[in-house]
Amino acid sequence: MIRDTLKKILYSVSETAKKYSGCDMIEDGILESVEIMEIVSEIEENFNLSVPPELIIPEYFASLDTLEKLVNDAKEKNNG
Amino acid sequence: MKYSILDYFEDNVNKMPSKIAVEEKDNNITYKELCETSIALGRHLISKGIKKKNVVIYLDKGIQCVQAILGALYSANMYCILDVASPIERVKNICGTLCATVIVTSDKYLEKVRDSFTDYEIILVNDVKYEVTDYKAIESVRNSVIDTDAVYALFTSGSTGVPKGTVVSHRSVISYIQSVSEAFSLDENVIFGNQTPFYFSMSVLDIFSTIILGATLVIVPKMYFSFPVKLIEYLNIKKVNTIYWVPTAMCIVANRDTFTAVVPQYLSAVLFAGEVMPVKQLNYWIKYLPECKFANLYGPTEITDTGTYYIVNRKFEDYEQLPIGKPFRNCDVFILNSENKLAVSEEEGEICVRGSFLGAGYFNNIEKTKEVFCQNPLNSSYPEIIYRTGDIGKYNKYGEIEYISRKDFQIKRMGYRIELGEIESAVNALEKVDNCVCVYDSSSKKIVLFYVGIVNEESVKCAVEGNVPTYMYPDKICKVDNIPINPNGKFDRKLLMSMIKGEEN
Repeated sequence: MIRDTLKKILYSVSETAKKYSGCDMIEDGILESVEIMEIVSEIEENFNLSVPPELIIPEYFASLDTLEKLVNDAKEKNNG
Repeated sequence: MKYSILDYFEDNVNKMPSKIAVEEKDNNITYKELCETSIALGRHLISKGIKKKNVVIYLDKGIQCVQAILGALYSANMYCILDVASPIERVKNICGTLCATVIVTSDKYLEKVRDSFTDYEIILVNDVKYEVTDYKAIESVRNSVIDTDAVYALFTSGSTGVPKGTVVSHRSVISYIQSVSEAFSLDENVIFGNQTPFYFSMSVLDIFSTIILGATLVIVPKMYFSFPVKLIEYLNIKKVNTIYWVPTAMCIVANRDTFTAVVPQYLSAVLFAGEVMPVKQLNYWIKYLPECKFANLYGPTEITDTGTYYIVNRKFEDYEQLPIGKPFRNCDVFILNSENKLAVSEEEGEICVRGSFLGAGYFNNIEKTKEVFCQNPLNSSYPEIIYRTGDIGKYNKYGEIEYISRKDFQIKRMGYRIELGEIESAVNALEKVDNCVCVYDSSSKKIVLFYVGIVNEESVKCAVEGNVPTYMYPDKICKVDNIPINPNGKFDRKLLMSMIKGEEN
């Protein structure tokens, strides 16, 4: 469920990400600066949470797996 | 006496040879090393017969790029830095205007440059032999430079679709840096955290303040502006004490509430320019950095960089707009009303500039130069050139200048100057597009493109992306049956704008 929503968010924000098959979108320059901010806003809107600044780091934007971890960690921070 | 930027640079090389001049994430270069490598490059250029010409630089911003800049100056050449991310057609267009024959690049871009510039002499900055510094070989060329010689040409978007290259001299750069340093007490202790690209006029302050004052320039990797906590941590690691950023970059930090996680430890001066700074985000910065000096700078590429500044010295509400303040020392900025007379307080008029900051004009574009670099209407006694900015402003009750808007359709977004006409030209050039109009909604800061043609939006988007830089991409592309015409027979931009507003509501 989380993954499907993230997939939708990522692919709507970045056309390049759709075709990407590597393992680190940041290292490979797939995501633009504006796109990263857009992803964060979409995550906040779709999952009704706030992503704290300390979680907006390259490691969380490498792949769908890490984005999923970002959502879970943000949820935990929001609840804590 | 010092006449050129190199005179100041060499002074600093002699005073502090082992001081870091430029620092990248994992690399740095001292003043002595920078001097030696630049001289070697200058010598290499001279040996190829490239002196008192134009050198095009196609490099990422960083140490190599600064070496290339100084190498060009040591060989008495004017340089022009190109955006490596720009569509190659735009780059070729600029090179064509410059009538350039030489490109300085690195291995990284060799293939791209070779494929696109078959008739150019390609100099690889990493190929130059840096072991031997023969100052004698360059001395006569270097000493032939006078202060009115051109340092660089910086290209901005042009209304006809052809970018304009403002030529700026040693005298203008030196004069500008002297005034800015005086206004903000900048000296050799400054560590700049550079954000702006080197093909953008704001970088002139970062690069040449460093070189002229003997300061240090820290290149902040572009990627960090996506990750605000990393960005501030980087400033702290590098002990950056001065930044000169576009407001968009500052807003990223404020909008993500970054300072709750990490606060800049060394910042003492925060300067910004390029577009209007939203006060809400500025107040966020001030709240966390109350001891810091904040200043709003204003000016176009044609006057080297900026001509006025306002040091924030009173509280502004979030809905208020910051003034652009007063002119720097040795620069006169004034407002002319519609009758070409000095505007009185609260009267709107065009912001005009005179003095040494003024560029020489546009490269290979006498007509456009004459339009905006023109005789001072307040002086009928002898020739005196002023620059008409095309910006509307007024004096407020404090005697400060306030910026109101652009006179024409030129807009500024993320610090970049954009002529909507350039986007229109690119789209109009498409075979299956009949006509198009671009409008800018300043409230939502969005560029909307309307077009008539037998091609879908996706194809237009692809075509635009291949022909204009990223920052010019329209936010929305609308295919319409026709574009409304106003009573004057012109495209009715106001009606299109109201269509956008209507859709939003």
